Amino acid sequence: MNRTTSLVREAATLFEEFRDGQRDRLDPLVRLMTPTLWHMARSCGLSQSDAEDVVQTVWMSVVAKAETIRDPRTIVAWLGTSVRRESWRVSRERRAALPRDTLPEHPDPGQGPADIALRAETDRALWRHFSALTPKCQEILRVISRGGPPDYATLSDALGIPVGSIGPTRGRCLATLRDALLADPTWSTS
Amino acid sequence: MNEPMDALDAEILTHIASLFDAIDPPRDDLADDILFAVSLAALDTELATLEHESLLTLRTSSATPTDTVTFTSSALQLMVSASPTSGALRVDGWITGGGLRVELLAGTVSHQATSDAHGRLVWFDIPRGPIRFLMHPADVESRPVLTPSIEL
Repeated sequence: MNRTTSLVREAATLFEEFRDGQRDRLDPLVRLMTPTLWHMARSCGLSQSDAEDVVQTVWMSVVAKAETIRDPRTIVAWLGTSVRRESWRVSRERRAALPRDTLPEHPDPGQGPADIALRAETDRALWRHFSALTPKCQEILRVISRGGPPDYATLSDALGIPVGSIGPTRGRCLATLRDALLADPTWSTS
Repeated sequence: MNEPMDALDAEILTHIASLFDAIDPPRDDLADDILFAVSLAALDTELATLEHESLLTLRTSSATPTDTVTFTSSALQLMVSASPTSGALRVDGWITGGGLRVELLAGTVSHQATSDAHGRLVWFDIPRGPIRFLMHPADVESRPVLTPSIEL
């Protein structure tokens, strides 16, 4: 998490080298960005196997369309947009396949504290307050947190998350969570 | 809301990242599998067709006779069947030609075999799960042929 170089800048450099003929640069690029793309697909409500398929599909299209991505600095935005678009398409398909009366409120709640033992009280406090946020805020914070300290603002910018949602100013989602955590004595900074 | 982010904000976001690392991380080998799939797609392969689309599963219980699945491409034909051995499977194949290299791909692992003079192939210790085959024609100018996945 405590990256010293920017995720966005590193991805741009690797992509540019890959596109310009150093095909072996795909390996570090895929390793660098896959976790972030996974968290993005999962926060769109996809099951684990659907999320894996979506991430793979998007990398396939990066390889197929690399030449058309002229400005390497847009690679993270390109990946983010593609993952979200593909995730929405897959969740629409999944919903269409379900009989109407079994439509769940939240298609895939993912793992919750009921399924897993969160190690510390402070983790449980964070999970509790995080879960109380709107789905949109949860998505934003989960994805942006992948950037690491130097990159929150750059990542939100690159992913097309509206300016003001998060960094350089705090934004509504983070402000809400921060207030809740500060009011909760069981949450503490590590 | 429009205050600049401070150290506490960074702390919260770091905590969120480590929370999701703990409760819902991508599996460790996801990037490996993706890179493998991308490298297969990058091979200029011809896709073989499965003769009977319904035969996507090779039954291998001893109670039923083992199915044989046939893949067909423009220049090659590959027939395979599987039988259980202790804990794993033995896969027998027959291809239209001797001395042809055929890879059995299970996950990201490639099991190589070369057909004998009669076109026979055999692979041992193959785990159950989805597999596919990559056939290399004798003529190096020809494209390799990839089969669809079947379930063992």
